[in-house]
Amino acid sequence: MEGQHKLFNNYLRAHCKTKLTASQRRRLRRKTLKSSKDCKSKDTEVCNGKKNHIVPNGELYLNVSPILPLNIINSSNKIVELNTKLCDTLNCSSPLTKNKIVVSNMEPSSEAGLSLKSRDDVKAAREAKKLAKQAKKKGTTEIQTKSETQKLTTQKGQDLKNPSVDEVDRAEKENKEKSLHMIKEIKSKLSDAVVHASSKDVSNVTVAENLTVNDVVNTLKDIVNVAKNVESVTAIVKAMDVQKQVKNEVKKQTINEKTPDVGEKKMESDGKSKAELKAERRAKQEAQRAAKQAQQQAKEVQQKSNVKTEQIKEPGKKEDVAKEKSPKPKLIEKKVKSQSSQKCNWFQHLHTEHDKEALRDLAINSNLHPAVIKLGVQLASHVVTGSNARCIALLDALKKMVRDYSLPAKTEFARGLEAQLAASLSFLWRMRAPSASQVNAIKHFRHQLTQLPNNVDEFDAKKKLQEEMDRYIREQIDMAGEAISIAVRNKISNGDNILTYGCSSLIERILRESHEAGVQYRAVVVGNRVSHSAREMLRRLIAAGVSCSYVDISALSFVMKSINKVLLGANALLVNGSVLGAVGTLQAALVARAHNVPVLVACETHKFSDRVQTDAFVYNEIGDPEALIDKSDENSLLKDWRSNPNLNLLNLTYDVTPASLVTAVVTELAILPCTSAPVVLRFKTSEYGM
Amino acid sequence: MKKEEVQEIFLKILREEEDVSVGVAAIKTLLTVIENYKVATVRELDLNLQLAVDAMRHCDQPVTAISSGCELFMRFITFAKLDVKSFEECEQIMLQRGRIFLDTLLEARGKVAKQSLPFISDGCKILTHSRSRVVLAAMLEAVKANKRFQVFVTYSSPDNSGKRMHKELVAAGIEATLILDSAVGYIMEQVDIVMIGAEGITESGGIINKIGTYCLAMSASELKRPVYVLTESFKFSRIYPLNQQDIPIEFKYLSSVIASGGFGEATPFSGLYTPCIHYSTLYRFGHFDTFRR
Repeated sequence: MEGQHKLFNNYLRAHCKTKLTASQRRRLRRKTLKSSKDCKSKDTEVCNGKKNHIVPNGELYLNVSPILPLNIINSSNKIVELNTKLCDTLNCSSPLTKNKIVVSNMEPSSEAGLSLKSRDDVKAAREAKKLAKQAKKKGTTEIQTKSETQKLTTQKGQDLKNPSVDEVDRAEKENKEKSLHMIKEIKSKLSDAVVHASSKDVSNVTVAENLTVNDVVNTLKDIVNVAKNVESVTAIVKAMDVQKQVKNEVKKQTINEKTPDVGEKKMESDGKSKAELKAERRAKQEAQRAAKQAQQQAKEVQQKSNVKTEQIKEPGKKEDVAKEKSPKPKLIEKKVKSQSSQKCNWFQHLHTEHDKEALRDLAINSNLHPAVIKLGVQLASHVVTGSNARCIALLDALKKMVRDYSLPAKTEFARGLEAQLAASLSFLWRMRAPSASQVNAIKHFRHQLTQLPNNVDEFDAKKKLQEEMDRYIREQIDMAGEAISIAVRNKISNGDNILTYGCSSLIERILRESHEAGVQYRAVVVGNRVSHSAREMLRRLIAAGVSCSYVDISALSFVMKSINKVLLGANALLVNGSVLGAVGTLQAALVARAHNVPVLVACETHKFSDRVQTDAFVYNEIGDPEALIDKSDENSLLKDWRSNPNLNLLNLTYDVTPASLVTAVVTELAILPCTSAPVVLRFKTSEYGM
Repeated sequence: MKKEEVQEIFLKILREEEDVSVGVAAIKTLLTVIENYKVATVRELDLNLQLAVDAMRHCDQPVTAISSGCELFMRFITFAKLDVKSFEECEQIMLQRGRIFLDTLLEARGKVAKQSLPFISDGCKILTHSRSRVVLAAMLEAVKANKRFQVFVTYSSPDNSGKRMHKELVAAGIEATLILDSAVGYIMEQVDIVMIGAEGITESGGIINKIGTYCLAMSASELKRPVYVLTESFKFSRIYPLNQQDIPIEFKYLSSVIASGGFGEATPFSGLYTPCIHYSTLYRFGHFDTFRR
């Protein structure tokens, strides 16, 4: 019964996966159809040839898929792709067939997808059911699997002949046939071994309960044998660099052969010894290594061929570009799709694949300044956080960029730098959406850039801009902070209990400086478990000698009774008076209002934003959902949330506190009601022209 | 220039002109300071004025109006272009502007009274607190316009300034009733509108007034009676109290009380800060424009 249950589970998992891959393929197909239409007129024969040879392969791996673990299906997916790539590169070597290559690159995968998607699920389901039934009747299983594997091998044999029919130069053909013989030999060896092993494994599954030591040893031996075979095959394959296609065939075969092994082993992993697991792992590693090598080689060849085609420069260049791009989006799309099922519905619009993609898209020889790239990574990985810090870091990076900027000939300084700036910013904003402070700083920088005279000397302009940025940091952040610090200090009276939430450099400065000024007060730092910012704040305050308490946000209403003032930081002050703060700020303000405690928000005017937002749904940032998981808790329910389709984790970054909950906002200009934000913005526009 | 001299001038103005408010008296004092004490530089003048303001703050008069009035005056007279050749010319310009400012202030009360006329309807009952010159002017204006209405005036302890208000209203032929401070909640359901003055308006939109105003406003808000605050624009001051405790001490107590150090036990004389309880029920009149929130 247990074995049956496991079978069913595995079937379910595999089934889900095949469904996903099918829909992905449908998408891909739609995409590729467009491009393939363009090259329709070109040799369709090739397409057909490829199609025939790919499709059975696809079915082949799908036949096995219901009992495969997920990672193997993934890898086999990759292999199909790899295969198409290799086909290309092979054909690429002969320049005559270059146009056809593109077609074949598009078509096989899409065609395979087409044939797979419709039948996949049904077939997979049938197979799994069959297997489940057969698991009950022990005797029949062995025969079934044997016949299946035999079928597979015969199919493979047919497949092998197909590629050789492809129009490749004859010399190559001969070469290939030679290697084909070798491969066939190896294959027969392998298939024997695998059939042997798999049949053993199947019997093991069914008799899992009365597994003897002998059985274990036998299976162990089988596995080692298979691993050895794989090794030998890969060694031989390595030797033959020219016959990429053929090798690819073998690769697929090895994987396919291995998969039943591993898949079945997983099911019986309970009754396994350590040694067995070890051997299994080793076999897996071998396969992965081989796949990697093949991929690398394929890449090399592809690069070579690309260079070649570029040298020739024929009208097919466009298609070439398409070809280069095509494999990338495929991979990305798959990832995105698999994640999207785990996203919270209300916040779908906030999910953007920021960080990794931007970095991946970055060309190696891009002319972005290293400081900008560094900042981008720092922003994405949340090394640089906090509104002020992000603004200063941005200006610092820009300063370096301006310093090292070399003006191309016949370009106006402002225009040239603007182009550079735009590229840098689009990269940075993709790494992490800009904060209000950053937007304002950039506005100011751009304003200064436009103020430069047309025939300005490069040196002078650079100096001016750098001075301007220094001035911005000094006036808008440093001096503003000082003014706010003094204003708030006057509001803190002796014996006060000041509550603050999260970490803000400004609040920290205010509290530190008022402590140094001799005001007797006690700070209550409120934090949450997920983010470490409040603890960082606490660390800094204690280092400054402020007497502090720390409470979790869940204890907020308890401590609020004894609080005299609530002092909050802000990421931005919106034009309708709402405060965009770290998530949890709203809660602190609400509890303060409930206890009639005045809420002060400290915010420099450089963080005032001309956006309007009434709730945190419209704009927000999705944080790392993994942060919600309690790492110290071994049995945390959230630990394997990705495998549970009914469980979503949502980690938001900001929330919006309405103006009605805030008693006053302290700026460097004055202490103002929140609703005065438009006045401040208007004032700043007239003052700084931004 | 001596501190005592300034205080003398200031108190003299307050004694001689019954009808003038503390803020206006302070501004008049500053004008005489500019006229009488000749100085050679703008810096000296500025120091002089600041000394004068400081002196007036210690005259045992409510500080709220003095500080806001003086602040506005200083800003207004220095707002002019002062890039003239000699200091005499500059002084003349300042004096001229000062007089313009004073004139507008003196007109202010009449303007507020006129503007508040539509809010006093025929046959309505009005509750007012303590004594306010603007409220009195508005009611006299309404009587002149042949409106019949009834007024309830609180005693407003500790100085019982409501008694004086009551006397003045009766003298003008208005039907007025004195009530206890503690009867505000009882009477509230009978009245139609609440009309009060203010010593100062804070940046947050609250008002600072004689003690008891906060209670009055809260009970009015609870019973949903409209509260009208009548005030001249020079009373708008640049403070932002977060709560009652956050109001500067000199605004709450007379300077003599502060000097004796006994304000811990003493009742604050001025009625503290009234935060706008419900913006919709709080109407306020400046003489330049009508603030409506």
